[in-house]
Amino acid sequence: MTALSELVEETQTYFCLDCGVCTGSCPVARVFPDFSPRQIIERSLYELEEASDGTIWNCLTCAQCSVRCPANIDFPEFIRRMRDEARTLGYDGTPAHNGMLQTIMAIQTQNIHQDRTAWVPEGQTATTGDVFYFVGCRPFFDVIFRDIDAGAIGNAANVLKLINRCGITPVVSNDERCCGHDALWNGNEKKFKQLATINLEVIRASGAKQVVFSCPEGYYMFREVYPRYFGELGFEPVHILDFLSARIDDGSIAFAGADGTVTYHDPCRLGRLAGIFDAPRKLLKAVYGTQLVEMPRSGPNSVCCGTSGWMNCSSCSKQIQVERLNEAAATGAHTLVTACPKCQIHFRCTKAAFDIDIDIVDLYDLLADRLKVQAD
Amino acid sequence: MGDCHYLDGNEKAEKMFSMALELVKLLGIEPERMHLEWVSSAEGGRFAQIATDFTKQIRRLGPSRLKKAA
Ligand code: SF4
Ligand code: SF4
Repeated sequence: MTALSELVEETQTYFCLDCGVCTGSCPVARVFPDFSPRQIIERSLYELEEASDGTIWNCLTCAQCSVRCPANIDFPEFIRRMRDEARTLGYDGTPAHNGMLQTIMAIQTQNIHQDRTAWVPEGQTATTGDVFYFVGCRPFFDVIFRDIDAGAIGNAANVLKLINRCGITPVVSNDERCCGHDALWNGNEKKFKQLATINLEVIRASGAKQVVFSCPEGYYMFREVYPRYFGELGFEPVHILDFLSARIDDGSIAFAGADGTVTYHDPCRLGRLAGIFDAPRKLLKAVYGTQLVEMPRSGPNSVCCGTSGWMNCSSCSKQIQVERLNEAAATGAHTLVTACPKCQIHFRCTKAAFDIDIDIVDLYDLLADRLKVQAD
Repeated sequence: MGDCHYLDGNEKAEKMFSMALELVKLLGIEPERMHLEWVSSAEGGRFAQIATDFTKQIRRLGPSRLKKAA
C-alpha cells in the first residue's frame, strides 16, 4: 500500500461526496483560488495528489470545512498527515519570521535550562501545588513582536493576577516547553512528541491536579490531542475562561463596568475546536453589558486570523486579516477583543501595516483591568 | 551607527542581534556565545583579532548542550 492510499484508508476520505462545501467554506480558497480542499481530497482518491503539492501548506487547519462537511471528513487531520509524509520526502512549507519560531521549538526539545519566568512577581507562584499555570510561548512572543506591540508578557502577568484573585497560587515553571501545536500542524509529529513528553514530565513532577491555560492552542492540545498520543494525563486541563466564568456565577469575582462598544473574535482552537463560545461572552458582558456586538462571522462561523503554525504567511493571510478587521470596524465597535496571543499578533501586524482604525485588546488585559477589588 | 554601506543595515543588524540575545537568554543558552562588533572592510587586522578572541571565548565555553537541536 502506498503512503497516500494508507492515508486515504485511515482518514476515510473515500466518503467524500465531492460537494464542495469545504472549498466554499474555506477562508484561504476565497483569496487563493489555487487552493481547494475538495480537489486535494479528490486527487488523493485517484492517487494523483503529490507530496510536492505546495498548496498543502496553505491550509490554516482552522476546521471551518470539517465542521460543515456532510461526510464528516477531518480535513485538518488529513492535511497534517499529508504534511508529515511530504516532510519525510524533503518538502516543507515556508516558515514565517525566517523559521525563528521553529528553531525555538527545536531547541526546546533539548535538555536546556530556560530562564523564562523573570516576569513573575515575587510570591505569586509556587514550585509545587494543585494548580499549574501553563503560560505558553508569551515569553518568546514578548521579545519577537515587541515592535508591533503584540504578544506582551504583561498579559501573562494579568492572567496570573486573575488566577491569584481566585485565591490560587499556581505553579509556573521554567521547564515548560512549547505545547507542540505548531510542530504537529507543521507536519512534524516527532518534534511534537518530544515537546509533549517533556511537558508531561514537568507537570506531573509539580503534583498539579489541574492545569490552567489562557492560550487556546495549548488548551486544545492538552485536552484533545495529548490524550490521543499519551492516554490518561493524570491531571485536568482547564481553560481560564471556564474557570473565571464559574467564579462569576458563585460571586467570588466581579468586574467593574466600562463604556464603549466592543466585538469579540473567536479563535479557531478555542471556539470551533474546543467549543468555548459562551464563557468569553459572559465575561465581556459583565464589563460591557449590551455594548458587546457580534460580527457577521462569529461563534462557530468565526474566521481564522489568517496564519497558523508560523507558516505560509502571505498576501492571502493579510487579505483575510484586513477583511476581518474591517468586518469588526463595520459593527460600530471601537475595539476588537482577542483571546489568543497569535490572533492578537496577526491582527496588530495588519493594523500597523494597513493603518486600520480599530483597537485590538486582549481579553485578559481587559478583564484584569476591570477586576473589582471586593471589600471582603 | 548609520555609517553603513547598506544605509541602515547596521541598525537593523543591531536590532536583530539584541532580539536574538534576549531569546538566547530565555532558552538558557550562554549569552557569551554571541558577539556583535562593527568592523569596516579596511580594518583587516582588527577583524582577525576579534575573530581570534571570539574563537578563544567559544573554546573556553566548550560544546553547547544544544549540539543536536535545530
Ligand atoms: S465538504 Fe466533505 S464531502 Fe464535501 S467535498 Fe469537502 S470533503 Fe468532500
Ligand atoms: S481547515 Fe480551514 S484553511 Fe484548511 S481547508 Fe479547511 S477551511 Fe480551509
